[in-house]
Amino acid sequence: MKLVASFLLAAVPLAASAPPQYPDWPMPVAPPPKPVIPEPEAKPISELPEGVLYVVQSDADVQLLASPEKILKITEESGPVTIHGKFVDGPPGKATTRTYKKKHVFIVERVAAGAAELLEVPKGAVTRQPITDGTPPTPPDPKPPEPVTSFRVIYVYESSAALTPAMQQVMYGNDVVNYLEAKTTPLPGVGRGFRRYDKDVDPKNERDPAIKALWGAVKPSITTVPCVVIEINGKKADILPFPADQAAALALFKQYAEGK
Amino acid sequence: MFVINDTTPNDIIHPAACRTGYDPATVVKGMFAAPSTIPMIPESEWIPRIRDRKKYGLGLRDLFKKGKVGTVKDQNGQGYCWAYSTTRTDEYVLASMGLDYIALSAHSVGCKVKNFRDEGGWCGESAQFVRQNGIVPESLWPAKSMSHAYDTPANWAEAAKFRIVEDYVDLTSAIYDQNLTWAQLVSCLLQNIPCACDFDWWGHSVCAVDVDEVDGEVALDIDNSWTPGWGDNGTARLQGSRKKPNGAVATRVVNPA
Repeated sequence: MKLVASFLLAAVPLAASAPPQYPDWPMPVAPPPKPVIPEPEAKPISELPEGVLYVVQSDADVQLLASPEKILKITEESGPVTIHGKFVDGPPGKATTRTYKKKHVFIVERVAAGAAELLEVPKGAVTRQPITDGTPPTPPDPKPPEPVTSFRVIYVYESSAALTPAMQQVMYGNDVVNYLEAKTTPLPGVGRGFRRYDKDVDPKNERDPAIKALWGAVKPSITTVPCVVIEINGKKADILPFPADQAAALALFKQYAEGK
Repeated sequence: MFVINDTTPNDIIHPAACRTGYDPATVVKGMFAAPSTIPMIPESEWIPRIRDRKKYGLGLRDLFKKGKVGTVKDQNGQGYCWAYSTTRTDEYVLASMGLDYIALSAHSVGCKVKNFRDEGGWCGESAQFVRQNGIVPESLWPAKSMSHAYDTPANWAEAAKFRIVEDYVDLTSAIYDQNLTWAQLVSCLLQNIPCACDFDWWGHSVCAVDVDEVDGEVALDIDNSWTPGWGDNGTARLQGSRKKPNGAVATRVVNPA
């Protein structure tokens, strides 16, 4: 029976060997909990500089109004909403991120200098009724017209078509010619800043580069003759119907040359 | 105003030798047969238009008065009047376009057409040349010069800038027979289209610039090429039978240069 016992004894050490060695797998790590940022409360303010935000929020159905208007701009959002910007009660000059969770979120910004007040009232409780003293609103100051630094005119006609007395008046009349000679931009040694061109004229030898460029630019667009081309300041060139008479021509040229 | 009519003595008209190519023995008179595309002005409108043009300064003569076309030219006693007449029309068209005056050398045309021989010709002949080759400016070919020295490719390259590109000319007739009717001539001039005109009675060619009312009649207003000392500052009015040319071409368009 020794053999059996030996066998048994030999088997026992197998059953009692060291457990297998497994690699040390890292366990998943839960992300750190998000810090809970307490909801900011809208503390009343007395000053709101330009470039910073003042945010008011409420779960009640309210409206936020500014009086007078046009000094503060109020934008209403529906919460929750996350806003990134410089807040009036935030670190000076530094943009931060805040989340507002209430139902109505009002973002107030300054758009003009001056004092105003904020009115928080139930929605629909206030209706606006502007009242004036009857003085019509003052329109904004008109933009000053761009000064005219160059003025050029090209009469365009078909030389084989009848040159009517009215056309001759417009093209050759003393009053119009005297005005154009005085006002159009000349190139000394070449000519005044106006031309009378047959519609097929090839300007390749035109010695005034500005007129040459002008004609090259407008010629493809001319579909009806006679007409008149007017250019101002080397950039704005209009192709216009031929004026009916000298007076109309003068008025047209003055409108461009003098803004009249 | 200097007026030439049927009774003007010849010694007033011919102070200098000048001739067109008219030779009654060789010229075959023809009718102006080609259809005209000239926009015609009814005769009933001629006098009113002339008066209107004078009142408002609308005509080519007014450009002359304002100094826009220089002075009349001087053919220097040589037989190139037929080149001077066409050259002057070219100068008027350029002035009409609004360009400063450039004096063009009529002698450059006459010399090249006649190979530097002092010979007569026809306005149709010079017009044909100017259509093809242009005119050399006097800055490059001095006025009245017959020198070959100025006959250079460079000068003719510059001359090409002054080609006539559109005109009214009777291409159905020979050069020496190209003419316009009196009504066509007046219609051109009333629309500021200058015409080179040959006159058999005068043996001379001049530039018709405008029309004028003289003694109730429509007269031809011309620039001669016999210096400003002739006529009225070099110009005259032709009346009666002497106003109607025997050869004429009308210059409409010159490319600006």
